[in-house]
Amino acid sequence: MDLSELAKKAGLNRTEDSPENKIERLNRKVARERKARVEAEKVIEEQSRRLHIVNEEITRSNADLETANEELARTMTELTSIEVRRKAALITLLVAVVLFLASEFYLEPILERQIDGYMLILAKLGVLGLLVPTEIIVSRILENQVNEIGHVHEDMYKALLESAYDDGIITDMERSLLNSSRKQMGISKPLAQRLENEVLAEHERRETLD
Amino acid sequence: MKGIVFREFIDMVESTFGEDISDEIIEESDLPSGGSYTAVGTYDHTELVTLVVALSKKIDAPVDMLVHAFGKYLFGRFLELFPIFFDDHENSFSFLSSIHDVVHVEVLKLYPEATLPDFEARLSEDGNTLYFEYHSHRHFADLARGLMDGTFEHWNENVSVEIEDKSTADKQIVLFTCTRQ
Repeated sequence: MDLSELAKKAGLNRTEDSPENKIERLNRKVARERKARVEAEKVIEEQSRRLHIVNEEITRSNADLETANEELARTMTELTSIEVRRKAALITLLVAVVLFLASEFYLEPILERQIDGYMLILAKLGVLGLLVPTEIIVSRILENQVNEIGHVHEDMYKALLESAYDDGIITDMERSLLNSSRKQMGISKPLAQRLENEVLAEHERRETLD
Repeated sequence: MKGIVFREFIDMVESTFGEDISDEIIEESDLPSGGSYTAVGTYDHTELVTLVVALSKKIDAPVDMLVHAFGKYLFGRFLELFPIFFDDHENSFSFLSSIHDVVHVEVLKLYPEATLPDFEARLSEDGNTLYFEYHSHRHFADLARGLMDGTFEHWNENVSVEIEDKSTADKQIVLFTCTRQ
């Protein structure tokens, strides 16, 4: 037996309500609905309060995360700089050793046979002088390497932007993460804006095609 | 039990049997909530049992039949309220298999404090039989059966259901063996 059959069967023994009974019944219904509404409002208020507390916690955590990211970015920059200087010093030292060995065992016997006195000292200084351009060349090579890391960071930041723009909008949380990533990767604000414009233009082009 | 189930039950009674019967069963049942239910609230499930028993006496219909009829009605309402749970399924077995791992997970996101029955679903190798086991302390297997029948009707399928009661002292366990005809 389904609901309509049950309803038909139940309706057979019912008599029409008097207007007074109907009003009383409706009054009771209104009172129940009002009580339910007040309870629903209480539940919503409680949830709003919890949401507010959670939002505040998230804001605090975001701020902590951003500070930690900035700290990390500073440490990374310092470490990179120390690493570059250490490498440059090491390579220059190696070149100095090679030059010393070459001058001591190869050039000096030849020069001692052909020149003497001050000229010999000048020749030695000349050999030592070769270290200056060597250090410049080594520094340039290492700087190029650092620039290559910069390109990698640009690509990474662009990939983050593409992922953030995937749904067409950037939420507050995504913006905050992008900002901290930008700082961490050492990407300047104008460069970040240029990359974002590129990603946005590409996203709009794809949307138009779809 | 979530208030949405109570609201839907009261709505079903009002629309099917009339506002007077709905009012009478609430007034006569002496419920702790006073019969004021909000969809976002949580209430003792025994209040629903009390209401169904009162309705059963009022219209002279068996309780299990009413609970089953309510299950079918509730399926129709869930379909209207939460179509997203049904859109991706092509048949009833696919939907029923997703209840425990997909639908209930989503329900818990909406209502974290909800306590839901456990369903274990296993499909036979040929895909024509679904073994669907209901586990709950609330003893609403008839409601689950009504929801299942609503599911079969929605996908316009002819499915026979065999029932095996495996209940323990404190828990209702019912195995529904559903076979496509």
